[in-house]
Amino acid sequence: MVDYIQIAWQGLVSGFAYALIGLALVMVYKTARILNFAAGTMAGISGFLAHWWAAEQDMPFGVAILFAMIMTGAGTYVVERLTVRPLVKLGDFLPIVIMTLGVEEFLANVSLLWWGGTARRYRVPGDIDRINWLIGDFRLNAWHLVVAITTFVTLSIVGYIINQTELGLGMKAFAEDQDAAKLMGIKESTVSIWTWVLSALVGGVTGIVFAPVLFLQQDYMNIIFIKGFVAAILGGFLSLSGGVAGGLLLGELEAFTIKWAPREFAAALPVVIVFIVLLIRPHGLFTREKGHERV
Amino acid sequence: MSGLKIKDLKVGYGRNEVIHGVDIEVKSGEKVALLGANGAGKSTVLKTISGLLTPTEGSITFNGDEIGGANPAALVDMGVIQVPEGRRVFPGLNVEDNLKVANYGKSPDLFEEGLETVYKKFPILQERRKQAAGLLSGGQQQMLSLSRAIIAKPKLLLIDEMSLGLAPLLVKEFYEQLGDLFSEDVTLLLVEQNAGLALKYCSRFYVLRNGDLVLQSDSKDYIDDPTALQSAYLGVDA
Amino acid sequence: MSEPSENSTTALDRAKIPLPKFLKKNHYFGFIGILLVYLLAGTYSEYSQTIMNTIIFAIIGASLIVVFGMAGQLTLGHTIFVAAGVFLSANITTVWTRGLETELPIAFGVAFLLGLIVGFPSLRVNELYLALATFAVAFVGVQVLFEWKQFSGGGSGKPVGKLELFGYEFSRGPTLVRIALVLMLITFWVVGNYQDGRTGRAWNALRTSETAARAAGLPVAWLKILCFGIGGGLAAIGGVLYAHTLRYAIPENYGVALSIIVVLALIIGGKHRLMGAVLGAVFVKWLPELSRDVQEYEGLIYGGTLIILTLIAPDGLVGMFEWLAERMRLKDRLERLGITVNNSLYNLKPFNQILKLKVPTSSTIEKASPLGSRYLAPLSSSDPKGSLIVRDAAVAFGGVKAVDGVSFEIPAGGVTGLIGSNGAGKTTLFNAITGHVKGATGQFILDGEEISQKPIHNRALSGLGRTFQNLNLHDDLNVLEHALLGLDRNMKYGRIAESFRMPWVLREEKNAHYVAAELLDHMDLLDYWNEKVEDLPYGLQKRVDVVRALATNPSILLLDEPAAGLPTAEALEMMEKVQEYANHISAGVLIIEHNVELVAGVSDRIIVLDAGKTIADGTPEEVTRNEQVIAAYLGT
Repeated sequence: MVDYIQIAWQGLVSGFAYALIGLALVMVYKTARILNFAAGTMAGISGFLAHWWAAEQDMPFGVAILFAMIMTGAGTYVVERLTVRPLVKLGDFLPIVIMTLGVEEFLANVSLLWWGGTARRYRVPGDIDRINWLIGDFRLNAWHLVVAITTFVTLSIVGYIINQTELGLGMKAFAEDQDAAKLMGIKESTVSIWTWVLSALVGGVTGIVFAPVLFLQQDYMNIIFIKGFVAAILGGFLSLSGGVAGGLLLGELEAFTIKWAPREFAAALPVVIVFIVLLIRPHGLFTREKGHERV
Repeated sequence: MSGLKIKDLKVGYGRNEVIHGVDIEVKSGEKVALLGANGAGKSTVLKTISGLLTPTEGSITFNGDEIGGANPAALVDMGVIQVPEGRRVFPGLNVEDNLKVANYGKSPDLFEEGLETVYKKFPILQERRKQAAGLLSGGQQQMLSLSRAIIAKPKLLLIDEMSLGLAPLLVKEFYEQLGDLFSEDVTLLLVEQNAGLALKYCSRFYVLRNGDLVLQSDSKDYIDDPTALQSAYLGVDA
Repeated sequence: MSEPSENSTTALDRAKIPLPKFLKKNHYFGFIGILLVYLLAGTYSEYSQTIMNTIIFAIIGASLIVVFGMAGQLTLGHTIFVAAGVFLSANITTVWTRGLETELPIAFGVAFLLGLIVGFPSLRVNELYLALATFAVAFVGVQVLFEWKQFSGGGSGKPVGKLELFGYEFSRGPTLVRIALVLMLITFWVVGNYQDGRTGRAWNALRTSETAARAAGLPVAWLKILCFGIGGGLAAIGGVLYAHTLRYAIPENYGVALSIIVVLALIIGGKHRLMGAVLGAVFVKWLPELSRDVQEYEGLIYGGTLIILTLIAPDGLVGMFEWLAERMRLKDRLERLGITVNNSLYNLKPFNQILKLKVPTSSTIEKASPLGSRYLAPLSSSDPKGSLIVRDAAVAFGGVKAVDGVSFEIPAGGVTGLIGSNGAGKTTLFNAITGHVKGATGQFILDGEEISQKPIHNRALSGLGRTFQNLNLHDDLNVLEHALLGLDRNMKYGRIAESFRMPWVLREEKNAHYVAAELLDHMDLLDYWNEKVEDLPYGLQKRVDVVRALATNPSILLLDEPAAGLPTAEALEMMEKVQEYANHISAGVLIIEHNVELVAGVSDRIIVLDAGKTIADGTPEEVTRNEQVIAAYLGT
């Protein structure tokens, strides 16, 4: 029994990462109908910055995180204005996707040049990631607890912004009906940029908090990015809570598959899930199908 | 020069020109209807005024300021408010959030005030204020759509096809209420296919056919017999 | 514009439309280029490695042209096909100890099937999702490979055996380059043949408008999956060569990074042309050769180049050259017409805006009607077709009934108008008949054949031809190609024959060109055959839409607001031409229109819809006097 709980907890911890990235992806897709291929690398850079400042530049951990988040926000702002915004007016999404691919290639190489290709492991304050508590036979890693708390805090903050602030209202209105939202005086470019920044910050938090779990390697966030995407697909890609739920579900599925299925299959799981979901419920597991659209 | 003045307006979607040079004038505080059969280009004119479309040629001025091609958000700040065709409420947001969106970027105090007015006029909206707008009936959605405009405090109000998809009796009620919902000095340009209703409410009207103005006149000349407009609408003699 | 000469008999000759040939100018250039490299490969053997890599990337690029350039499916999972080629090659050469004669067909076949599977999501999701889904495939693909040690050798990889062909062993170096060049020639030949044939045309059509491609009778679903199959198969050929170049297959080389690089190279080169695949390959493979510094920063340079090109030249390097050449031609054309061009090439407006192309009013030169020509005359029929029975048609959006139990019967060969006010359900009814709206109920019977359950393209193949309210043209295609697209319904040659441009393929294509030209002549579009539709004025675009529908030789033609946005005179003239052609082939016509004047003028009968229901049905005179109709229009 404890075995199952252990696996379930393990799945939940990975699920947190998928859920956060899934949320970040859905957020931008929902309001702007754009997928950011650089999202994984951008989140990775945030993680690098924070841990590098803390471990190699002797910055207090909290300050390093704060700086990293500021850099993430500012960087995203620049990227959106310089690369995506000029293409939005053309009204075609393909160039935007290609553009984010270009950004991905560029940033991935920037980080590769900076940190090199080898994996590093930085210490976190108090070596929390090395503390393990035993509760009966159940083993609880302290850093995993930090991950869980961070996830809840992040989700709460995002939930607050979306549901309680004017910006969140604008994002929701924009996602539902762009023209009507414009007629209410909501500026497209403002909503878009803040959605991007918020999404990147969520990604950044994920990158920072999962770095000690995953080892810091140049492309360590890409795998999370892919699985975040699978989470979003599970959730129907248009529902924020669906994306989060999809992430947690994926984490569990994965944890239990690794336990029993052959490794080849476990590796293929995300794609298998994508195909199955698209085959039987293209609108996601948790959302109802939308009304038919007119040609 | 106050009021709305449109000169030689040409608008198109891509390379397809649908408005071929239209002149419309609505003086400050005047109520004017823009009539025509479906596909005549009425909504296109309205969308251009509210900034959703950019004119290819011509000018639009409001109270002397050129507003052709301006950002819709900037126009909303100037008091140019459109009630869109098909109501366009945000279906997933609840009634109160829908109204809140109409107050976007403005002070919450003003909102409270507006909200009170709206709920007094349409008590049913207050009753359902926590319900998703998509679950409201067509008539209630139209109330909500009009209420958003009330909250936005228009100087120039553009109403697009209020009768679309609503029961005739209901539409008549809305038209009768219009004078009560907005203050006298609001300038109004109303797009409508249903000539009979619009003429009762507006003092003047224009008829658009295939992107050209074919008739403009005082309402009183036609109000007793709107069917006389048939040839202007359809381009055939009855 | 072209001068009509008295002697030429066919529209095709008059307009000087080139006929499809077995070999084109590009073929000779390509062949000479490849031959040069072939001959020089021995002399510059120190560059063999780089040349090899360039060839492999060019082949992979060509395979991506099929998927992305033509069919428009942005795939980021293309490396799994390359990987399939590489590891099959490694296994076949070491385990079976067979040579290329086994490697190539198996690699192609396996990757083809793999492509059909990978292409599946393209049926269910938009291109944005697809890009991510294929990205996931690439990512996961390499991990699966890594874990599947028996096949891949796991992290340490697997050696590749000897380079053999039917038992003859070859040294690598220059010989491998020569073998690669031959394979490149074949790959390019095949991809080029698709570009000139019905499959490539269909891919281009579905890229620019899926809805319209379906309405023209193209099996869009199969075409989408097929592009992944063929693209995958060709990429695997590149993979086999890659295996022999590297001599060692390591799973981690075939991950997301390579996937992105191949796409990026093609986009930088130009995704619509084979030359783009070559330029892209040269760019990514020769740039790092320049110096060590460049090598270190290559990824940065690629990413940066892509960012900049996406902003200024979305069609890549080839697109840039073509754009410049076109501008120069245009300037030349204008100067010959006596128009001085003061603007720089960059600021030159599109041709039609300068000349203000006008819709031709009936041609001044007396000419024989194209309908009597050798190519259109056989289509003539005196047997009216296109009887359509609509029984209890209903469509609901959410809770709103857009079409609410409409029934009528249209006799074969008649012209029927369908009018009604805004939101009356006219277009929705059309979409229900053609299958463009989901969830429609009711029965539709065309010439005695029940079509209610068929997918869109099969309804088109049964004889429904339609136009669109908002046109739905294929932006990158010219006018002639739109006519050819319509003619696809009656073409017979298969896709394998097309790959190798067999004689009967060429024969059919030639014939189709003749027919298309006559059809354009009939609609007064012949002068514009080579213009891209997006450069045409609206009135001419409407005619192109009609031509595409007429070319399918439909039993019944469904016209959705043919006059919208046109001056009445122009609309009437177009309708006259359409009717003339419909009479010629004895097809029925059903028109949706707001312009009552026009409908009343051309129809034998008018059906009036209001709020999803029929409220009147009769001759034009009866209907325009009907009280209920007037009320519905004026709303009193």
